[in-house]
Amino acid sequence: MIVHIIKQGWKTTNQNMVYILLFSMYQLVCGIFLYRWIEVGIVSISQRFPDSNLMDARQLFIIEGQFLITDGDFMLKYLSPLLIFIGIRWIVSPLMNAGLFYAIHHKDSHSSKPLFLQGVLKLGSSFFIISCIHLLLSSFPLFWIFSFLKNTLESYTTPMSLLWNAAPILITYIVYTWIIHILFMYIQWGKTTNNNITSPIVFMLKNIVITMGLSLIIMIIIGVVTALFFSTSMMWVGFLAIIVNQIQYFIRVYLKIWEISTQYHFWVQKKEPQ
Amino acid sequence: MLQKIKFFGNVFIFITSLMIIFFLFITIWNTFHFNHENERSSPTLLEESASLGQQADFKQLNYQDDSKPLSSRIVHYNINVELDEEDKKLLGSQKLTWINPGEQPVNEMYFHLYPNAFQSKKTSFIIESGGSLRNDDMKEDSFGSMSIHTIRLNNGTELSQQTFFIQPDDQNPNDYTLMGLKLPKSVLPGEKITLHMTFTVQLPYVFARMGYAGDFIMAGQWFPKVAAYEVTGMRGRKTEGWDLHQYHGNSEFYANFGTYDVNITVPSNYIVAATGVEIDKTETSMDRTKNQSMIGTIDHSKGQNLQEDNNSKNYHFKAADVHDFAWSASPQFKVIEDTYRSENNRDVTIKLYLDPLHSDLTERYLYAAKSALNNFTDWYGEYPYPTLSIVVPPNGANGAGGMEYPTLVTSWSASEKQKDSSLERVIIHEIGHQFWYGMVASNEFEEAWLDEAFTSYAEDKVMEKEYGIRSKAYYEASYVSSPAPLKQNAWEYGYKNEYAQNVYVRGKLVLRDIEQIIGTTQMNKVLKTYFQRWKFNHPSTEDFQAVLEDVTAQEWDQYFNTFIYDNKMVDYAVQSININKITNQEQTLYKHQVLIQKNDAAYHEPLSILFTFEDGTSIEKTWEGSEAQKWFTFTHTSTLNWVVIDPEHTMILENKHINNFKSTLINPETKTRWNLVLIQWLEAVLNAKMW
Repeated sequence: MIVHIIKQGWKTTNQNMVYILLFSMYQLVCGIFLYRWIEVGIVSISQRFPDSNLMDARQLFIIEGQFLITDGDFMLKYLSPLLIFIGIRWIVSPLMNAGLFYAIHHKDSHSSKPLFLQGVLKLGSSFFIISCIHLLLSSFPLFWIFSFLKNTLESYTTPMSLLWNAAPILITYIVYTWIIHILFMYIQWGKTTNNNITSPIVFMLKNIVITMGLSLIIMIIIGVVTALFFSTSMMWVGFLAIIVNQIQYFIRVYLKIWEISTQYHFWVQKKEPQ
Repeated sequence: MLQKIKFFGNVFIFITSLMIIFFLFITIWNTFHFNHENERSSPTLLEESASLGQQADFKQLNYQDDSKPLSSRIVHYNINVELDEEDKKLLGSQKLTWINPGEQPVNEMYFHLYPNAFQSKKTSFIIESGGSLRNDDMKEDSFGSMSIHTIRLNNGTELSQQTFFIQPDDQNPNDYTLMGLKLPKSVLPGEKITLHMTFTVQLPYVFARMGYAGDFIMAGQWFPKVAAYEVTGMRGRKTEGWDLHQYHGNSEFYANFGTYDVNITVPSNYIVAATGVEIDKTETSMDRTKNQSMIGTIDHSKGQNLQEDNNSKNYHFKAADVHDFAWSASPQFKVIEDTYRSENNRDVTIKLYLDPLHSDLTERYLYAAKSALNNFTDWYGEYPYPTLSIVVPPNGANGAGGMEYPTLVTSWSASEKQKDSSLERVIIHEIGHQFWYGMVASNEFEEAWLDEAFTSYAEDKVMEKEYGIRSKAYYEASYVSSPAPLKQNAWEYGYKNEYAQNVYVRGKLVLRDIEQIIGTTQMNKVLKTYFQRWKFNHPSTEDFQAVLEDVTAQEWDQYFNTFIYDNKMVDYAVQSININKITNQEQTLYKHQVLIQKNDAAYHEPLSILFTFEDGTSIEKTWEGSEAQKWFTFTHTSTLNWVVIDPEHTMILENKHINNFKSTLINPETKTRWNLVLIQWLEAVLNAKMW
């Protein structure tokens, strides 16, 4: 059954190629911004890296560089464009989801208006609220985790004991955010398909093994692909690496939409008999 | 509508339950992994009436050559103290005579009860220091405290009910390091008051100057110490009065000069090192009960378990013209005595109390001590005390190490590793303190740089002269990442490191900068004059400025306002480089525009700027450096590769060397690789959360 659902998800994904292209373009533009932002940083740092003939200058560069990293004002100045960028992306993200979810669900309707825009208009606000709650839920444990890590860092004796103390908490947190991620995908599907969020929560928790299994399979594929891209950019430098880097946006979007469609089919199929 | 309410209702219930589960999880986790802090109650003043011990009447000290006091001597302590080895306690009684040096009657006296800094985790010292000093951490549950049992006047009037605690610096109600005492009768100007006090000190495991480590005892800040009283005009004071501060994570001490007569009773296997001159040593088979009467009726229920015929030893020390008294004891000390002799000055007996681990390093310690004394007496003035004791704490007691007390210093703790020049450096530094902390005796609560920076400056001079180790000022300046004013209350420096960065390093660099401006000969004269004029007189930063102005016959206001009363450093930056190609018939030329900017205070001399070109040539230009910025415009046959300001690092107070350099060359391959790697990481995180 799982294989069947994944296959169906793949089919739906291919049917929505236009959104994949649209989303990849969007990510590409974001990628160009990120590339420029990092470039400015790297250039300004390497311009200050002294010539090897200058007396002790490189050691001074390293000493002072460490202080700059820990200097709040300096870091804020440098990080603020990135923070604004992430903020905008975070606001746009639920709206894109709204359009996409709506379009996938109503793919057979023959409306004259574009489905994507209809979705943004109809579901945008609720998806935004859902996304706020999602952020809240996935970030509130960070408060405890930070204080816990701070205590652990101050009191650890050996690197192993640090690992043993910190690892369970970190793994718990990652699993927790992952579950929340799937749960909210179902909440969004519930909202899209029958304007109800209780049933998807119950549904997801009842079928937690399958839903997580589906997600896990696609996550592994995403992980392998990301690792491939990562090693490519480590090894090759030059035009080819940049091209590969651009292609990965397309593939990532493809895989993400595949996960969304797969969960959609599972939701629709199990729900219907009821 | 109903749908929406239902929707949010469900979401709310869901969130709440998740939060509760997570919170419970974290709480349970923390309970298993961390011990919660122990809290201690405030020190108790025992109410039971205690009979005051038999005390020898205070005699004018039979101190060698005390015909002419060097200092004002307004406090006289006569202390008997016994070490309770098992419980790590000091049982003491003291007779304190204080003379009102001012022109106003005094109705209240104040005492530093320094051991109370270690009394709980809520004291100002522990909160500010985070329970560690330098690299030594407080041991869990090793608290220290001081209890005052009785305070009596000569006529027997009991005053212990008249005490109160104040926290003038931070109003921390859990800080009991500063105790006030209401006097039944004013002390009139020039008159004296004598108080008889009994007290107990619980020693903590040593991490901040005082305490124990195994059988090693470091008794610093161990007795109820009367606060410093400042008369009108002293350190710029408009009205006379007490100088009151708690014991802080970042602050050392300040007290008036006086005399000390101290009897220290320890188990007979112990050897005692202390401030001042050892008068005599008696070894007795002490009767425990008799001993108690001397101390007063303190809770000795535990002490009764000790053997009745416990053998103990009594050490008797005297010191005059000092403002503190410290002692250290250990059965392990290996004592080595040597004499420092010089043509012009009196002999000084150097007593080295070595940890056996460092037995083979005796000569290094002694040579460092003698070279320090030799140079400092030569540069600043006579060391007037007959003794200088050096304590080498055992391994594990580094919290007691690297500290100065009058005529007694501690080195770093003995360890296998410590064979580098830090062994000499700390001895020279602490002996340097004998001059600035010990004799000049500035206020370390309010202007610590007058002690630490001057001592660090002097230490560097000896290290260079005797050991050929010249510290590189520009490296040290790089570490000044958080400059702050030098005349500032010690506890007001931001975080732990800011105190050291400024009070030690930045202050020292400012002195070296002054030396660079006026020349070494003049600087030596300034320091000698300052020492001679102010020894035993507690000067302020303004007093130092006045000496500097007298000796150099010039005005220093602007300099002091920039670097000492403010937090300025020198900072020049290569701001931008523009290159334009100009082609004419004969050749290709490049027009360069380089912007040099002044970001902070100006350097006192023109600065040199080096321009290096693609063809290997370079040109050097100088700039006055007083304006905010300057454009350098020139044409050259080749393109500029890089620009550097002050390539020889002559600007002592330049702390941002990173912007002194700018290159036009960047390796494109490195740039792309780093960019792609970073972007992968960022994208991986962002993609998990958003489109």
